[in-house]
Amino acid sequence: MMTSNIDTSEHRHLPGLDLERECCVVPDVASPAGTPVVALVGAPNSGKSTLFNGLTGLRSHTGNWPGTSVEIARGPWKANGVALDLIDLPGAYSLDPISPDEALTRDLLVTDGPGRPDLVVVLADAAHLARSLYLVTQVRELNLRCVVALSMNDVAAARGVTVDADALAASLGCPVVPLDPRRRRGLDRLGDAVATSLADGVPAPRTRPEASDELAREDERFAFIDAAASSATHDSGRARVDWSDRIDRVATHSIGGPIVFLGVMWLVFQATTTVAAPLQDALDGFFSGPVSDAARAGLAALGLGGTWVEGLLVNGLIAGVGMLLTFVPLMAIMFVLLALLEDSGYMARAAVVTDRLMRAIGLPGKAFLPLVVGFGCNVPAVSATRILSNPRQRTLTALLVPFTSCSARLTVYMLLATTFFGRNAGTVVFALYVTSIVFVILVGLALRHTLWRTMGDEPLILDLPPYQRPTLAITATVTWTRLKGFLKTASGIIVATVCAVWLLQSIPAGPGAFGEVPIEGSLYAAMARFVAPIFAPAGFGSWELVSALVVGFVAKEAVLTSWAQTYAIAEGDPGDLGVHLTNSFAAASGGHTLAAVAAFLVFVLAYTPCVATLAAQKREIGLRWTLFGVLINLTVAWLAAVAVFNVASLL
Amino acid sequence: MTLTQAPLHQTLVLTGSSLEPAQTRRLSSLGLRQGAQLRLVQRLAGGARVVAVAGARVALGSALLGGLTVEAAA
Repeated sequence: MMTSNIDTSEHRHLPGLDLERECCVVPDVASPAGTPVVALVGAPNSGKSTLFNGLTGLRSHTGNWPGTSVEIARGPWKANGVALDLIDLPGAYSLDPISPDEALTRDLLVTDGPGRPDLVVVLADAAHLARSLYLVTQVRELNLRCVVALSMNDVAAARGVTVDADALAASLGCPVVPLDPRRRRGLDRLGDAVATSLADGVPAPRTRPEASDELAREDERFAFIDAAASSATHDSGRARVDWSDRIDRVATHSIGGPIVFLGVMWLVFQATTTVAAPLQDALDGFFSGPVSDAARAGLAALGLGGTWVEGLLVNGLIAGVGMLLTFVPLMAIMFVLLALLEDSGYMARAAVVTDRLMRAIGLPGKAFLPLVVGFGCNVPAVSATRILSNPRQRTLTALLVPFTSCSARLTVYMLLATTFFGRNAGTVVFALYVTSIVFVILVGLALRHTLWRTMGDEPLILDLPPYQRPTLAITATVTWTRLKGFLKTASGIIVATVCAVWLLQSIPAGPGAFGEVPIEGSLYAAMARFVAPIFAPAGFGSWELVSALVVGFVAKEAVLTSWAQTYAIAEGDPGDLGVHLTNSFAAASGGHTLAAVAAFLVFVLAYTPCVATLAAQKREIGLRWTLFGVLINLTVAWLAAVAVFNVASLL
Repeated sequence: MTLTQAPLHQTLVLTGSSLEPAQTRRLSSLGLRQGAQLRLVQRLAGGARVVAVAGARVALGSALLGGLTVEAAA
């Protein structure tokens, strides 16, 4: 029976974390029975993920640990010919957990159950050795095989410090392997050390002398750490050039900091809109042009031209897949930027700079990034919530992203604003963006004070890692892994939705043949008519106006093309469309046209985001939270639209 | 004095903590424990500070700073 010296009184057992369950079931990753399991632990920012990627290559998979929302990466590692199962556990400074992520790490190492790894590789930072040894020491007090991977030797050397791995190994009682995960050096030596340790029995845990209380125990542990660190460290004493401090003098300055931050945010925003847009347009053109034409030609050759089969293939499947792939350049750019910001170390500074502002509205500092990106496009913004390590904060931010008014919605705003508000169009659009920010703040506060009351009360403690030049190879690997994950989840949802809309528009609600019925005679219109009365209190309860909202569920830009279809007019002729819209709004609102238009605009701003965003949400926060988000969006949108219509009608 | 009142760029020694045990342990694991030497290197918005300790840099909020007592190193 194993005894643990770790104080367990503070530990909250994770609900649903069943350690008796099948070990390590991560979706899509099959672990051959009997493969030794090696866990990788270490502090955040210590290069752990880089090491993990270096050891497993592109063959790793990520998924949630069963029963938790903690994301784990897992992959095969061949160490000195021995096949191993490597798990990348969440970053932790110690085995005294503060978050569910750290609690999982602690549970797996401390508890003697099926989830327990056969060996633990603890990543230590040579530039911050004493601090790293805290976790190592705690692991050495458990009944576990342990190997220390010593990284950041170059950073230490730049500061005039060298660490003697052998001396450290002698003090700690376990192997110490110096390595450089970023340049992939020393990985083989690590493999040798691990393979050798696995062949041996489990070493005796570090003996701790009897202590009177917790404080004395802690003191003894620190004394041990200090002795081990100083015996292995040689400080050359030469003057150091600490670039990180110099950059931080500006980057965290009370005035300089926000300026640098806004500059970086502007670059991110530009990249995800201006840079991505031509690539997206090119892909869109490719799918709606050559690919669709080829499909039509192929079907015509088979004698199926002009039938519903062509409709399904071209307007359903090809349109759906095309739409999915147009997001690839955007997401790739977003993931690359995120990787660069995190790898360079700037992300921590950004979190510090925005901390006070975001804390005032109950959000963590880093939440600023996804929200800024959301004003360009909600899809990569939801993925960007990954930078928040706390899953509750991630969920909250991902639920708020849809309230940021994306550029696709802008197309709808522009049409309606110029048609109905003439010279005041610009003011109206500006007012909508202000409203968007107000929604983000209010909904954020409301959710915080109801669902997550204790969140955000944690005081600011943020480690600022030294700045490093980002490594392109790592950036590319990480980006590809994340992109793969997005495509996997999003593909099904997007393609299914586009096909569903096509189907509804093809099924006749009365007389007419399948696939050849005009839109107002389709099941789609029938459903819109059924739903329209809900919007009567908001002043736009007519099926032509409401049907566009349904299409807007697929993609916001489609609202315009949907209206063109509905009113059966030629595209590029806004004059007629304007007349049709005016008539529709006037009729639906009983003469209060402008009020109804304003209400409609507010509804478009706040209601469900496009299906690609929902797919991204499902990936990041799960299906239940995504559906909850849909509910919030619809409720807020409807209430706001009704309020705006009734108040504006009085003016 | 507490860290809130301590001056920048002076070597200090942490003498005590009036924070909750969980927070004290977290700070310990980052190197901020009784007897540790540290320096305040940067002022941040909202009364927060960047603390240099054990070769690392840690941003601490004002709430935490008020709970840590220090004195000037000898």
